[in-house]
Amino acid sequence: MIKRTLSLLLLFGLFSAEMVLSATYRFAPLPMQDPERVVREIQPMLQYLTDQTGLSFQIVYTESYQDLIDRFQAGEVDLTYLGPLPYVELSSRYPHVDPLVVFREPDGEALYTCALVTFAGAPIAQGAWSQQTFALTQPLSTCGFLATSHLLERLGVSLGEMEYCYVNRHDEVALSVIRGDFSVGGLKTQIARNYVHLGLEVVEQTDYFPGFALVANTTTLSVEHQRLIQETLLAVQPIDQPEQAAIVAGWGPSLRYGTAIVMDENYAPVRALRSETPIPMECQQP
Amino acid sequence: MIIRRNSALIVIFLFLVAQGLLTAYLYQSWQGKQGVHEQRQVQSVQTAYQAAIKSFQLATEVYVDEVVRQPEILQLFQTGLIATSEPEQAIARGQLYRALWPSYQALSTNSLRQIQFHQPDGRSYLRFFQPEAWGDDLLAFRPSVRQVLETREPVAAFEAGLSLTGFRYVYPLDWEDQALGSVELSVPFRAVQTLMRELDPSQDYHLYLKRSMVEPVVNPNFFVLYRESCLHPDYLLEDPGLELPDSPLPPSVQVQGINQQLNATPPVIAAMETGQTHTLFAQIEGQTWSVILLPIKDLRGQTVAYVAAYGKDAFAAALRHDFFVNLLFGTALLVAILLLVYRLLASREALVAEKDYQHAITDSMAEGLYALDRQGRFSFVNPSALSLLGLLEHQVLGQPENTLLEWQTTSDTVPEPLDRLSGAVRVYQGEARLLRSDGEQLDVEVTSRPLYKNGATTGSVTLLRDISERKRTEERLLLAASVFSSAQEGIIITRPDASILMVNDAFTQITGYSFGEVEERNPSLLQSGRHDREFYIQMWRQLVSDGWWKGEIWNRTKEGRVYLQSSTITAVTNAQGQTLHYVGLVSDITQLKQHQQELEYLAHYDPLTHLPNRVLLHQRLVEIMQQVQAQGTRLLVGYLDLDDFKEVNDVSGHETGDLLLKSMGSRLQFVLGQDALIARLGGDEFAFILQQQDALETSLDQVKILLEETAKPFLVHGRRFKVSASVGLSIYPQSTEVDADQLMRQADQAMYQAKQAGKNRYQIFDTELDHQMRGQYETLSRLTEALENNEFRLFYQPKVNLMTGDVVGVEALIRWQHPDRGLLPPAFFLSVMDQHPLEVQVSHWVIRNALKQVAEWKKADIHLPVSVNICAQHLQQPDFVAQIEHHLAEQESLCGTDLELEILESSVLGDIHHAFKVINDCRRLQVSFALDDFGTGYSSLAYLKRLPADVIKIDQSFVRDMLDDSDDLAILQGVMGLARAFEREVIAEGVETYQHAALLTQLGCRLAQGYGIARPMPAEDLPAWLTSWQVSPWRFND
Repeated sequence: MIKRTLSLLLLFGLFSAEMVLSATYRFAPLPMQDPERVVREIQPMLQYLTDQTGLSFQIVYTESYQDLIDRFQAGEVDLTYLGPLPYVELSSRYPHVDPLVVFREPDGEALYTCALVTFAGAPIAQGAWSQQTFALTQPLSTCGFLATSHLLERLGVSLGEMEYCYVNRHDEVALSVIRGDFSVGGLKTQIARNYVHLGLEVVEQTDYFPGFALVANTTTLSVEHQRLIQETLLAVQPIDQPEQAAIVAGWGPSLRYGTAIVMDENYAPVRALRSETPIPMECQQP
Repeated sequence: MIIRRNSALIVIFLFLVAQGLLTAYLYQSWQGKQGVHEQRQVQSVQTAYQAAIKSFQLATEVYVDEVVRQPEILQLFQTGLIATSEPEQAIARGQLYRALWPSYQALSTNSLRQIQFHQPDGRSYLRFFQPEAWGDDLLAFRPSVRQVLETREPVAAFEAGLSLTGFRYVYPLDWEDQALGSVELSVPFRAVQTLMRELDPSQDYHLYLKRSMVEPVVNPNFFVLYRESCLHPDYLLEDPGLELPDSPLPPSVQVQGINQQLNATPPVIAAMETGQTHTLFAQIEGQTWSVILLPIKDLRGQTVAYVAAYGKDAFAAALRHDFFVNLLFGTALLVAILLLVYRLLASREALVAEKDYQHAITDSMAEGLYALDRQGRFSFVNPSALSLLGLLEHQVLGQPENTLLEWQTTSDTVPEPLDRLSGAVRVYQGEARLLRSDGEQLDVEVTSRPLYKNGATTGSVTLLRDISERKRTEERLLLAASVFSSAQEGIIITRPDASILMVNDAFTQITGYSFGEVEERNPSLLQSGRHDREFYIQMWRQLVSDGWWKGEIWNRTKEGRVYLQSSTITAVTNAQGQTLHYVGLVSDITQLKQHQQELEYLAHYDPLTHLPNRVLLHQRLVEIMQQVQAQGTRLLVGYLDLDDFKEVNDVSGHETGDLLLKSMGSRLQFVLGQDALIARLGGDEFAFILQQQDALETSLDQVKILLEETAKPFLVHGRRFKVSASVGLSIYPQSTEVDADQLMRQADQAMYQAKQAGKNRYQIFDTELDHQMRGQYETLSRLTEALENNEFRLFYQPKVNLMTGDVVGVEALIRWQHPDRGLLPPAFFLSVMDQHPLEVQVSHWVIRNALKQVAEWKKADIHLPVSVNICAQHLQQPDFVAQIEHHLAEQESLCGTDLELEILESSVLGDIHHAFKVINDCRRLQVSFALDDFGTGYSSLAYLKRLPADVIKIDQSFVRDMLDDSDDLAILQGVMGLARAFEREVIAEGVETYQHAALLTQLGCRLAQGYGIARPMPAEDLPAWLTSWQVSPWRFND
């Protein structure tokens, strides 16, 4: 009897382990990013995780942060890469989230800033901000309405009264400003710097926010696997361990500088800012 | 029907060849049409591809010309290139981006993926797709950029990029004579694919990229977008999962199925490695799909990718279907033809086999078979007929019969061919004699009839059977019957069980039994009772074992007379050795036997005294000498001659003398005892042999007593007669070897000495004196010398016919003309040569010189054959006949009839079969043989009967005393009778007087020789003697 029970348990355990080891998790990148960038920047990291953990990952594209949050709640996404505001928004709606790691910035810090950008070829005079148009990422993007309005307040401009529109992606914000579709854009400073060669100029930037984090859906991703993924990524510290540079060489710019532990408490400033700033969900254009 | 293996193999081979040719032709036709179809399809795909490529090229050309090469754009580009600071350049770049973005945005929604400006140094200046990337060196992996910057000419090429591949249209940009760099417009394969599908919706297009083109260029992060193609391991499929929006449309399920079927098969591998256009086929769900591989070359002309066009190819399927259908029908047709050919061959072979069989029948016939056509010419002839006609086939066929054959018949004439043709004679059957063209005649049985075909006469057919052998057999049978009937010997034929089947008349004459009285009876009815049962058992035993028996049987005639029958019984057997009959040849030899017995008696016993005669004495003496030699005893040979006996005959007559001789014989036997051998030698001569056990004196005493008894008077017819005897004695053994004849001669000589010494006494032979006498005989070496020195001479003694007086021949007799001792007779030297090779040499000398002499006489018109004495040693030589033939050939004028060879009885007895053969062979040369000294030897009647001697020469010893000695006369009469019985000629030797000759003629002896007629004379004396003889010959024919 005991033998049979043990055998069954062992079989179940093996089966479970097989199931666990062979699990495929759904990863949703930033909603704003184009698929090519996602493949180029995210896929290598996912492949590394697969190689190290035996877990498989499937990329699931979402249309917007809202879409991402909805699908997270629906249990259709197991992992995602979120900025602080989307995380705050997600966690406020769906408590079964856990930031596993936060990706470091090129300087090694696990923080980032948002920037206010213009086209250097079409500078904005000091008092002309109120006549400008603003390109924002997404409503729930940290560098979207939240950070941009915060930065414009410094300049005495209330974004709520301006003409703005959500162009979804940080790259698109930059390109739309370069193209002249909008005169001003709000995006992640790091991304803004990618377009400096096209004349994009950073006018203002925020204080540091927690960096983008790998967020787990704790209802669909087992604790064991959460820890496994966390430990695997925490083990990669190319800044501290240059020999690991080869591991991350193919990873996206926002992912290749290592990771750090992050806790929900680290998002308090963002929560505070969010509580103060109502975020419109729609574009405001004449 | 079946055909021979060879024919079957040929038919099968031809079928396979035809099948191969048909298949090759149909396949070639199929492939030809397929090739044309494929060509068209390829052209279609190429056209669609080129059209798509060209259309995009044209579009990009227009765009570049209309949009990019506008001054403001070029100036912006130039400003950026010549900017001295990065911010300045960045602004210029941004402005350029801003200026072209609307057009790019419009074009990017319609296939265009990328607009990229290149600096003159080959670095990327501005990208519209992935604008964040810039400044990277393109020259290493973008040959098109390099070529444009170098040549300043537009370039269109398919190249891999950092993420995806695409069709690159690169144009140089110049402003105010300054080379600004170049601009590139990239179109993803998706756009080309879409356009090609629009141009040719029947095909589904996919791109397979060469791994070696992608991997060195594409960002490794994008490797995950590429999957290895199942068509070839070196080719990749780009983003089949459509990760990127403008990636090529992935293969459909059907295309995937096709690819699985073509999964890296050798043909696919080979096709894709050629870098050439190639068409493959696959079957999916019962439909034929064609896969046209169109190579995409880079600027170096190397294949970097394949555009694969997948399309249902009903036409190819139809072609394939047509091929197999045509092949099937063609094969069916070939099989039908094969079967037809097979049947034709089988029929033909059957016909040929039947014809061969018929030929075999006609060829195997023992009878001759030939056919004539309507013109009487040979149209068919079988081997037996050719053999009978003695002609070859080419000599016969087509030739008229009457030119080759001629018929002879005793009855009906064999009808001419035309008669046979016309059917005048329906069937002719009979015997005929065929006269062949070579002259040979053949008895044949002919059957001939007209030859009909389809009711019309087409010729004739004749069957010939050679009956020559049968005819001969019939003749032999007739002859045999004649022989059987007329034979002098009785013939009895029995079955194997001895029951009599047939007997001839001679049998009846002998036995007294007619055929009817003995038919089916056993020959034992003739038994006389003189033979015991064992005799007949032995006879049958030999008959059964040896198949023959020969001997003498005492039988009884029907009348009861007992007679002696000579029988030769032979078993007649069949091929298996089984006895079919017994044939017995019988003859009554009673009288002959009696004659023989008489003769034998006469030959060995003195008929008057019944004492052994000289012949028997000699035999006994030889035997006793052997005993004496073995026992170491002694014998005494006595030669006794009555003194003055002639007076008794003269006074009282021969009858009284004979009676006295008889008494003398008895007295001698009485005196010497029954154990003593006493013989009468003839006349008044007796001989005796005493075996001595004791001293010589004892024997001499006996001799003395003998003399005394001999001298006592005899009483004959009441009258007293008194005679005495002279006795010569020789003793054996002697110091030198002597034979019986020598002992007799010694005793004879001693007897004469006793006579000369006064008679009525005995004299012992002086051996010493004899040795001296014998010394007179020369040695062999001297004789050899004599032969070499030609010291021998031939003397010739004539032989005459006493009836006619004619000289019938001469006998050659050798003499030795000794230089010291004069002419020596043969008795002085011949015995020395006895059994020596010199004897044969001398014999040759005699023959040669005798024939030479005969040839000489012929020249002188003296025609006399010569008789030559031949010794036994010479006769027994294997090449004797050849030697005689050679001697005759030496004298061209002579032939065999000129030579007679005289041989002694004893010389024949050695190897009688050889002697018989020699004599027969010589007779074929016409050389005759005479049996010399007949009566002095011993030979059975059987030998005498078989001996083919022509002449019997009666020994002179019988002739010389025939007038006085009735015994010799009786012997002579016996010999004459025997000679008559065996049909031999007789010549008497030793004819010394006319009276001898006269008596001989009365006895029937015609021929004679002797001293009375003529002594042996030299050859040169013969002519004179002939002359004198002819004057007064002895002639007793009156």
